[in-house]
Amino acid sequence: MRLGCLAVLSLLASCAQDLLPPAGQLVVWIDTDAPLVSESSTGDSLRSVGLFDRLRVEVLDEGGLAACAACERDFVVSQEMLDGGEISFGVQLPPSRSLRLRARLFPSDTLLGQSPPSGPTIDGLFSLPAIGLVGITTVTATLAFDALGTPVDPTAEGAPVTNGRALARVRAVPIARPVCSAVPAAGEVCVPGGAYWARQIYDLPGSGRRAVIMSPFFIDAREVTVADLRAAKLATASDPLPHLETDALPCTYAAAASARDDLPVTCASASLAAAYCAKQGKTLPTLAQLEYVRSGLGGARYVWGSDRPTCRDAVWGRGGDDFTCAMLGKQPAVAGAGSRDRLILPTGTVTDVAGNVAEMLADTLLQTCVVPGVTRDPFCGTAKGRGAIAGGSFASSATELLSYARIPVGLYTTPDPRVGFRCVRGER
Amino acid sequence: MVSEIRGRVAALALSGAFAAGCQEAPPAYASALVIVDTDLPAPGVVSRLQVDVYDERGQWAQSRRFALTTSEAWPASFSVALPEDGRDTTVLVRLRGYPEDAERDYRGERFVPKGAYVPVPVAASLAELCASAPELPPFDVEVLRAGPKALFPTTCDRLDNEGGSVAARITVTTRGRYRFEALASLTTAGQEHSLALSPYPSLHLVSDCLRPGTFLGCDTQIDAATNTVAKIVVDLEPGRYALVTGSAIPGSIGDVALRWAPAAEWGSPSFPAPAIADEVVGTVLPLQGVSDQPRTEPSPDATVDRLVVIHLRAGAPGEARVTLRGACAGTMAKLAIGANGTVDAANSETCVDDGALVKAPLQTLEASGSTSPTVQGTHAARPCADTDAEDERVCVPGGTLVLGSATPALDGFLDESPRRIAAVSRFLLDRHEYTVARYRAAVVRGLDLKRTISPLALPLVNDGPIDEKGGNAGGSTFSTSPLGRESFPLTTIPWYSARAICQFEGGDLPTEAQWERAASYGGRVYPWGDSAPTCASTVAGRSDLYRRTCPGSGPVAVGSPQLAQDVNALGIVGLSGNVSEHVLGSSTTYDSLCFRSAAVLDGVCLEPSQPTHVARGGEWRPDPTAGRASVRRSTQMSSTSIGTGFRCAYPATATEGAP
Repeated sequence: MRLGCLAVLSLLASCAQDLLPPAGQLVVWIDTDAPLVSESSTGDSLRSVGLFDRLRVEVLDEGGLAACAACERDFVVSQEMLDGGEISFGVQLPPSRSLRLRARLFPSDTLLGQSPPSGPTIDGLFSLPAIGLVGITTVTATLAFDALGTPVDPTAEGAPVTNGRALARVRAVPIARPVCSAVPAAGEVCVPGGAYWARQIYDLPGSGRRAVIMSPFFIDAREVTVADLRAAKLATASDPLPHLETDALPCTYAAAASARDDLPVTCASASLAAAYCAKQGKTLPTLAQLEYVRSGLGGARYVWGSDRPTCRDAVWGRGGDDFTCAMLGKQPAVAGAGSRDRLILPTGTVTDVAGNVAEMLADTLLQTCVVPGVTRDPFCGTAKGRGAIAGGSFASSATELLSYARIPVGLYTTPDPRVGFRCVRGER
Repeated sequence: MVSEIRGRVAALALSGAFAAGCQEAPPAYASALVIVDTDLPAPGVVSRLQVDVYDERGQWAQSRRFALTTSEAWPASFSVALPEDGRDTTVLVRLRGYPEDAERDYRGERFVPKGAYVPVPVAASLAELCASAPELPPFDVEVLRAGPKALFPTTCDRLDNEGGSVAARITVTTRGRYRFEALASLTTAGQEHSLALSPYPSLHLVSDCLRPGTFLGCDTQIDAATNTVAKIVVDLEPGRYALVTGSAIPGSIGDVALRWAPAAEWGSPSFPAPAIADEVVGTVLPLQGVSDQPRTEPSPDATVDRLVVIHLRAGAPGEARVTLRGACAGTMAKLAIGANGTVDAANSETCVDDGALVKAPLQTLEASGSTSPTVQGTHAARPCADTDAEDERVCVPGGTLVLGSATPALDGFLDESPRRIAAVSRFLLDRHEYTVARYRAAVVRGLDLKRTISPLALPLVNDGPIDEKGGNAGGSTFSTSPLGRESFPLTTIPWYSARAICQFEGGDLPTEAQWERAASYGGRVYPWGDSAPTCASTVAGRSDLYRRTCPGSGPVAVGSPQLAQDVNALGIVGLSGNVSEHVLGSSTTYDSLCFRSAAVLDGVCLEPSQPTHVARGGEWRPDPTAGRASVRRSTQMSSTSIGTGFRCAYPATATEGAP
């Protein structure tokens, strides 16, 4: 097989006359409605980050085996390439052979060893037309986002390809993120919709990963503060637990104004947090909403990207469970203290989503949301008397700053000096 | 069947106007075909290629990434063509070859020289300790390292000082009550040295550092809630004093943070936040034609970073052949960045073939069609000779690997990322973990850890059954006389004792790179392959004190059938489970200066006074997934564990095998 015309980038040089083979060849164009990763940075937060960045193509014989020694090739692909109609490759094999094409689209960071896992992979098997003695035959193979997580049988009959270059330009997830239809209220930020990879912290790369599509919503720009909660007049003598200087990890709340008024409120019960949000016409966020924000709206490891955190980046490691940054104090900080712990969006900046205080969630049965394929706006249900928490805190290790870190039910119980909350509101 | 243009994988068209198909002829731009080869294994070590092109004006004109995931993809080629109206032009091309999962956030050009690593100093005598004691102002925090040697002979709470000390000078200007503290591990992330608490330090306040008898107060009480390990509150007259720590544990070393303040002001005003090490701020280079730069870039420690200057001639395209050399792994190219984010090609520096930076060379263009065989996989590749083979010592061929993984470390484990390219020479490694029987035999042959190190260097004795609930002694495999555990791995042995035993046996502990080379041999995630472990494939998850996932309890004999699947491609047994294994390496991240200053080939990050070292591999207690080849965990140099043993590495002395 010849993969010489690997026109993932361009056919410019590899298709120069001196390089063209004398025999016939097949040019295969790849189309998909799946969101591919954008080459550029997140500077444009209204452009989808995308989910897939790697295409693996294999040309197989009728038995499902590789048709030649070099019949497998990976390509780095991007939304820009797809939009530019640049994803194609050439196949040159002896004529009159019955060939199939297996094309797999997946996120490259799920590669464990040499094989992409089936869960986050769109797997397609196609029957290729016979290659002529001379000349170029052009076909298009389309990978459907709906097929995510469904592996193909390489020995099965392949789906037909489309003759010619037929790029549909249909996208399952809009490249331009859907935004809120209303203006956010004071203290809120509109989180535009989009797709991201939900993950499980204790799993190896790729396993348990699922695609989630989110609708836009409003989120509090910062964690609810001591002053916010006092102003709502919902606090009681014992909820939240009051600040005691002698505590190893003191709670932040006090009934009277104090120097801690701008700190996130901690040691509140889940019911008080929910009541506070309800009084504002809001709710606690779902796991997916918070994970989406914490992943920089695209499944990144941390809200800022992939670099592991330093003490400057976010408020964490300040005693309790981890002492890495304990020199910087042993309590949460006023919003915005972490230099990279923020998500900058067109309508405002969301701060402290990775660290400062862990945050309570509306849904508690987290495992029920782990389903294969694509999920939209998942809500994982509730169970009476159970709470769930996501995110790192000033007292946690760097592990809990991961966007997909969640605290197992029972490990933290509210009220807890490491736990606070913020609220969200549907955009309509 | 295979194309005659095998290996020519893609074209990098820089005009921005890509040809849409094979029907179109190339434009008559000045161009060259760049052919990139590597002497590193592909795709095992290098499977991605990032190409950045800077034009004649020094502007970043194009950036592309290629996935070159098969060995046939190398050498790779692409063409560089700039639409300069047919005239000649010069471009600077930056080529970065790196493995999967080895990228970091792009935050501008952040050149970091490899540099020379200077180990943290420790005092060797009381005079040296006192002479080097820093002046510690009130409210400041000073982190100091204690060496292994007992320097300060005094007693606190009936505990004699038998470990190392740190000291700081104190100047009191006003009569009053003062508070002094020694604190546990206090550090800022990104610091070069991994700090760890010196085991149970005592804190002493003396009026004369050189005279322990001038003792004014001491403490050994640990307050876990406040992270304070010792605290003194005392009334003092104006004068000069010294704070000195000690330890009741012989040979213990570690880092201790000291601070003090007037007792009445403790907490009000609060201690000022200490300065965090300055961030390395990069110069963000504008990339033409796009509003944003790439989100990520190759992680430098896992990258061969090469600059070439290419003169493009209109109408006379030539070929530039560039080889990415393993010797340059981890050596960043140094772009000379001028005004407006442009790059001065003439003053930019790159590693070519020996690890040193030189001015980016002008690439000689060859006639089109020239060929030469690929050199991929030749860096440090040294096969084993038949005579290397021994029953109990397995020869591991020399070669290159990528240390670590992109998997974030879970609590209790060391970071496996960022990844790092390393190479090892051919060596021998014990087929099995070092056993109780081997230790007993070594003692008969003259090994005397008690005499050569200390009484605490001996393995703990367990004359009963293995019982994890019995602490380290109850879980130890070693017994006074044989109890049927002679083929079990020797556990509860400190790191320095394990090293001494290996040296007695004519070898040493394996380096981290040697150990991971063996455990991942053939590019595997686990010694046996990429498939996830089960209770049948490794000895793990057998503890009631951890999350039990498998039946059974305790480690097993090294020849046990339960280890039959935990075998690497060379026949080395038990690398994934049974017991984790002490290795030669300080517990720092792979991007620490200690690692960066280490050689690519057979380099090791080993600081003599580093209080923590690395253990590799899974063990019988945690979940089997902890047995990945790249998993690292930190272990105190002097501590013992019922889950940790070791095996030894030896130089390969036989005649090298045929290349």
